[in-house]
Amino acid sequence: MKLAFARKYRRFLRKTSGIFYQNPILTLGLALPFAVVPSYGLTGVAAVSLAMLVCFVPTVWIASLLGCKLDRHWRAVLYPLISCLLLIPAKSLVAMISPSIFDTLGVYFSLVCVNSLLIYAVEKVQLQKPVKSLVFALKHWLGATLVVLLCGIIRELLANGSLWGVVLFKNTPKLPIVQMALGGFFLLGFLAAFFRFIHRSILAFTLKHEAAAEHQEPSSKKRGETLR
Amino acid sequence: MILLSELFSAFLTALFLENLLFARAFDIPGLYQKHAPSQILKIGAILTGIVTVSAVPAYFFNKLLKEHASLSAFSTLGFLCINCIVFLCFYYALDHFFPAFFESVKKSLPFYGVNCVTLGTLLVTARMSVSAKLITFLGYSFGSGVGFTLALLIIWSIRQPLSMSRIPKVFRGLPITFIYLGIVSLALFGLLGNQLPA
Repeated sequence: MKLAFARKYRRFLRKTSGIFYQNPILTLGLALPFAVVPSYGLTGVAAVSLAMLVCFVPTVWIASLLGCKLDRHWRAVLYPLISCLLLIPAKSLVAMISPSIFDTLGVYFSLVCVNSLLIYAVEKVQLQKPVKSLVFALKHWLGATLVVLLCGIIRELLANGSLWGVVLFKNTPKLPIVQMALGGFFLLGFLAAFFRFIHRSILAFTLKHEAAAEHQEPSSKKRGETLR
Repeated sequence: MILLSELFSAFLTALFLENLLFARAFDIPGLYQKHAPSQILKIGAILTGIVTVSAVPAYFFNKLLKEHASLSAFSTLGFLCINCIVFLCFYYALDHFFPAFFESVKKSLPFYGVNCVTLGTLLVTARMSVSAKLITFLGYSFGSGVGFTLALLIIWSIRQPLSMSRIPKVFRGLPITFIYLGIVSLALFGLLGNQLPA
């Protein structure tokens, strides 16, 4: 029973690599600007996530199609340019979220096309098949989006007591400092530690029971021998 | 004299008040990798060089954008093209004139040529009031590059004391680095004031 749980957990880790396990933000520290600054609220999170989906995923897929045909310095130029071209349709989609979103996001919207997650991913999928690279890109996008979403929810609730501009807590004390860059850094630090703690606890639990099961097996064998 | 003071104030603003890493959270690939100070200085020199050289065409492009508002939709693409062209010129110039230096940074150079720091600096400088004069544009860009190098050195300087101190296991590595970045950002927050970076 417990061994089955351990196997299930390992399978879950393998399947969710990039989302929960090996998360691009909390484990690899990539896409830092989006996790720290535009995640001040849910509108910023939605805008950045949508722009990332439109720019990041197709660019990574194109990178896997091209493979290693280009030199590294040409790849460093080509993929940000492709991503930047995709930013034009992304802009019209993001404008639907809020008309003033570009004023609040500032340069962070434009930085989607050169973020460190993109630079990491396009190099990682060089030798992968297109379908596998698409799954890789979607998983990493989802992993980054989940973390940014969590940051956005916590920061907006703490700073304004609201979610997506809808006030939920009127008379609670407000912490506007959470919306600053320093709030983002602190929150990311604690989130990274928290998720690592959960992962380690589950690992320790499964390993303990695996060891117990292994310990039981020889003793049962011995018991069998004595019975014989 | 006035020009010099403007240049110096733009440089200092970019260096401390609006530090790319601590105030704006701009990053580069491999920010948390272990680098020797000499490597960090090389990375910093590449970033600062590319950003400062890009500032000249970016200034004229920004001027063009201000005169023709209809072109504003292509501002990011334009700045990125400037960044890419300067990076490629830098790449081939280093290969041709400084082959020894080029060999030592050849593998990592593409990652430091076009990234959040290089494009972000151009975009931020173009948005700010310092973009009115070329000298202040240059000063701000140069200060941004130097400021980012300083930030990398600060991260390097705390790596060893943190590894020697007794930190809870779950906080070791990336989480404590994030918290440290937050503390330095808090120190700068007093100077910057209560405003979101844009």
